[in-house]
Amino acid sequence: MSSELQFEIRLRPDFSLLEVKLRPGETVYAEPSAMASMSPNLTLKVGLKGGALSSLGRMLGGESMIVNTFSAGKDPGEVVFAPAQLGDTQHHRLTGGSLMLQRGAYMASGEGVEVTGKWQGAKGFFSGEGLVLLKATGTGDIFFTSFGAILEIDVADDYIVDTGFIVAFEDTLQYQVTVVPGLRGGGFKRLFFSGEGLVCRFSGQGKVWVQTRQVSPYLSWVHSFRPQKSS
Amino acid sequence: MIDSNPTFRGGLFHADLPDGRSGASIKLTRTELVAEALCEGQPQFAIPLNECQLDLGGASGKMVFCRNADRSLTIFSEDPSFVAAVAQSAYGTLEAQFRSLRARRRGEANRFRVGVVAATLAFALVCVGVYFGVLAAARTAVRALPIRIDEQIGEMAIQSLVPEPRLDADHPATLLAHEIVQQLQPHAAIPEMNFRVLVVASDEVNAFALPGGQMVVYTGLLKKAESPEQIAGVIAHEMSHATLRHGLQGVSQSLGIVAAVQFLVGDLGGLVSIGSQLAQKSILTSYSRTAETEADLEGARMLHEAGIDPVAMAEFFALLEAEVGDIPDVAAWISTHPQHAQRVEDIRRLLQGLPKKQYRSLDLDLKATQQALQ
Ligand SMILES: [Zn+2]
Repeated sequence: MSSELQFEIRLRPDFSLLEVKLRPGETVYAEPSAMASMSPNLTLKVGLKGGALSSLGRMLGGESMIVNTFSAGKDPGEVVFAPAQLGDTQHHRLTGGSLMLQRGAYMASGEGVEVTGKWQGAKGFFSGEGLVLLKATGTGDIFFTSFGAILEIDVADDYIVDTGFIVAFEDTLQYQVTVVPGLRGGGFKRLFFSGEGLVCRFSGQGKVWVQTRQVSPYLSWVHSFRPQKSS
Repeated sequence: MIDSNPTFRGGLFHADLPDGRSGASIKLTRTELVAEALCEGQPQFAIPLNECQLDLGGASGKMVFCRNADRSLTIFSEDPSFVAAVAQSAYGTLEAQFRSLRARRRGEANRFRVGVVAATLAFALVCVGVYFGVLAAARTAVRALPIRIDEQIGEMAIQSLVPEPRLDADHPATLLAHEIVQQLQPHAAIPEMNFRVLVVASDEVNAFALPGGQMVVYTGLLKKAESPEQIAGVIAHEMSHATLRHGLQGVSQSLGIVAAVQFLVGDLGGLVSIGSQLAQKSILTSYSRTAETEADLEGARMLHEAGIDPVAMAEFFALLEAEVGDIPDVAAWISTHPQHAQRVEDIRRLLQGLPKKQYRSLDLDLKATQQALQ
């Protein structure tokens, strides 16, 4: 069993930073470009982690194929990671189970965690969020990021979340991508023309992490301030 | 004592555990289900088999949950051998529960499948809309599906479908092809598509486009061309395959509607089977005659709007056709692009319908590029 990483998440929720204190011989893996600062005695290795298939999966999940590896040698050291988005960072300790991550949410993980892509088929296709969720499995620490703050919801029976707000969920939850109940009438057209009004219906027992902002509406809001093309 | 019962990986929910849950290693004895939590102290929990309430669920839909009578304890696993072990357990009650769960799951799967088939038919209709090439309708239809799908399929295919060696990004031939793409891009049906071009060092006269806007041009084609406008003709044609999304169409047509459903649902074989399907180049890069005609006409329209004489495209077809007999390498593009005489005629007919325009010549030094390729 892998030991637990020593870490602190600071400046939550809007501009969160993850500070990991590596003990001698410890390693942490992170998305390239996540590193903000580090002790000079840590060694940084750029490269693939896991087999070719898991790398392919990560690529499909919208994450780059490369994970950077930060290791402490004889001396301890610290490394600070910053998420790409304006938002929170969440820690989760995996104890043999799995976590499903929305693409782009993965930031860092400790030893013992394997991150792979998962082909979502029609579920991903119609969600407008791309084809693949990432699946993190094993025993160890994982850190993921949100746009805005993160709400942790303990689902006991049924729960509905808009697809754009999902950050992560435990794999003990069953999920189904569907049209918002009550919108079923014009649902089909919406399904094809906007990806709007699509929700994930979770059932069973487990946790869902939901972000308080959604990327695409934010982008269109920003877009409305861009200078207009004449002609 | 040696324990002969196999253990399974899984997890459990119970209020006494930190955060109410833990991973667990699970054993099935003759009378109970025993789970040892993989957290501090490794507490053990057990459910008598005759009390066990079974349920199926989880993200995969294949995880088995066993609850005790008051539902305070849940032991679960996705391990297929666990599922088999529980299903085969000698206790008749569990077997019966399993059968009814399986039936319920099939029912759910069927309902989902009906929805997917309906959606796929709609998808096919969208393709038909593209197929008959009413341009205005096609643009709307094409935009109904996110381009990300094309891009991701294209990305997956690059490694297996684009041969080596490829020229560097700053090689004169790559720069020439890139410049042509840049000039045509504003006039493409989907100008925001991420068009890129790779040049493959090979004497084959060939070019193709992957879904999502990745194009591939062989040096053989660049050497064969008599003018940069002819290359622009081929590139415009290939860009049109990407914007008209013939690759996606190819997937649903070649694999058949049933396989397309599986492709979309991703149930069977997942990534691996899709990977191997995509490795068959023909599915993504050779198209029906109707699609070819459509790409010719759309390519000619783009050239016209970019101020480049579309006749150059027709000229290049004619040139290839004249030579196809004697040089075997020339055959590649020809073999995927049949019916030249008809195509040249179609392009000329389209041109007669377009408003007269003063065409420009491209300010590109093809001769120098061809020398760099010697
Ligand atoms: Zn073609």
